[in-house]
Amino acid sequence: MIYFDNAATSYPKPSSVYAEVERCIRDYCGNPGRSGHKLSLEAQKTVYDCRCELARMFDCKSEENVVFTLNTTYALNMAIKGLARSGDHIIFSNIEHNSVIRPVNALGCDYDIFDSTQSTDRIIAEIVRLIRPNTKMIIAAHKSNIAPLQNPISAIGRLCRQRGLLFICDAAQSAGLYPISIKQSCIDALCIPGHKGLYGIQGCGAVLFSDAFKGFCAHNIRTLAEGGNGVASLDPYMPSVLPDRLEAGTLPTPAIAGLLAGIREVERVGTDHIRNHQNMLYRRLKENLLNVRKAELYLPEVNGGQILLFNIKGCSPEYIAEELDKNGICVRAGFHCAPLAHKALGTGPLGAVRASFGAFNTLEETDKLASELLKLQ
Amino acid sequence: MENYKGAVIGLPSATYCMTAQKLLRLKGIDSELVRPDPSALAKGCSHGITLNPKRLKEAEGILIRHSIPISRLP
Repeated sequence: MIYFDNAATSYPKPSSVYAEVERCIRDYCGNPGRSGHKLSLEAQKTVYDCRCELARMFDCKSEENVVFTLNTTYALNMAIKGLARSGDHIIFSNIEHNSVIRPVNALGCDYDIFDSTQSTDRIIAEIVRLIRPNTKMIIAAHKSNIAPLQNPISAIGRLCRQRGLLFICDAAQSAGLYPISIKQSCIDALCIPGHKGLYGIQGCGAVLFSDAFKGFCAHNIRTLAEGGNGVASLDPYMPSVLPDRLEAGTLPTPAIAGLLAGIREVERVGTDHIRNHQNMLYRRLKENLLNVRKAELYLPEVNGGQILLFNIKGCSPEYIAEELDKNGICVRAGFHCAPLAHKALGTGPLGAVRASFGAFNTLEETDKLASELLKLQ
Repeated sequence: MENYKGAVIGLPSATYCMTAQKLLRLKGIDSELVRPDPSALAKGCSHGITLNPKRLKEAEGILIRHSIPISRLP
């Protein structure tokens, strides 16, 4: 089986991740933060170590400001609904995932959308034009989930800081692949998955809040869910401090243990190395597809990336994906929960096919994909 | 480790306890995680660390300097 759906979830995982998840479930899977017994404390230590690793990796000053969630979608919901209020105006980009578009619409906030396919200067100029007196926040994906498109997050963060706006960054496709500094990019809430570029298992993501929300300043964040967390049990309200204010219920300790092992593996191999490897795969597949007469590549001028988007004239994207699956190749067809980005790239009424690379893919696998596509035309 | 029972610093959560332990360890102060008796707290279950009473004031100063919200428990 050849797996090119790493933008949805990375597969396979490093062997150290499988081993640590199993060790956690078998040996120390108590409920973290609840009890004083050994099993609970060992689980708590793993959770804490993972917070510290994430804080260090993304230049977040306080590990207490690392809040675990189910995934990036929950992380974005937590940040957006926790910080925006009805009547606020929000600005986001046209490469955002539905995990941004839908929460903003559900809040009933007014919003405007800027075009990420422009130069940095033009993007910033467009955002400046869109800012209103009641603009509360800007939300920007670091990297698109359908193509090698990106937002200039440091420039957007600096603008937010100058204008007193909050900046929420969706790093679903970039965490583990690109260096990200919350401090340097002036990010107020960085939303990350555990199961993509950090190579953990499904079931865990995180929001990393800036120091503006340290200690009792977290009281300004509205909770997404309320419940038990082993703290102040006689109080009918959630605690005022992070992470406990936003972590209701039992955490997914095995997934957090796997994420910790994944982070360590990514750091051992090196994000630059993984990214360069994927750029090489991208270039090889692009070169091969340029020889497929009926292939339509989106952004063919781009010479590196982790995701290649394409169509084959005369075939629907779903048909292509089905045919590839019959030959043991996993890709994803359709709109990839990113309708605005598809519109910007002009993929048409059926969307497109996405091949997304991971650390374990090989050049031979990209050649096999190209040869199967040749048979389809 | 010595039995330090008697000097307890209350902290808002298990996460803060571990951060506090890390900061104190850097200054050579050992501590242990404890679950203080809920009867000592208005809001019930909580977390804390116990340490050598002789170093309590020093430890409190370190944690306050790092903006760790603390409370002293009996």
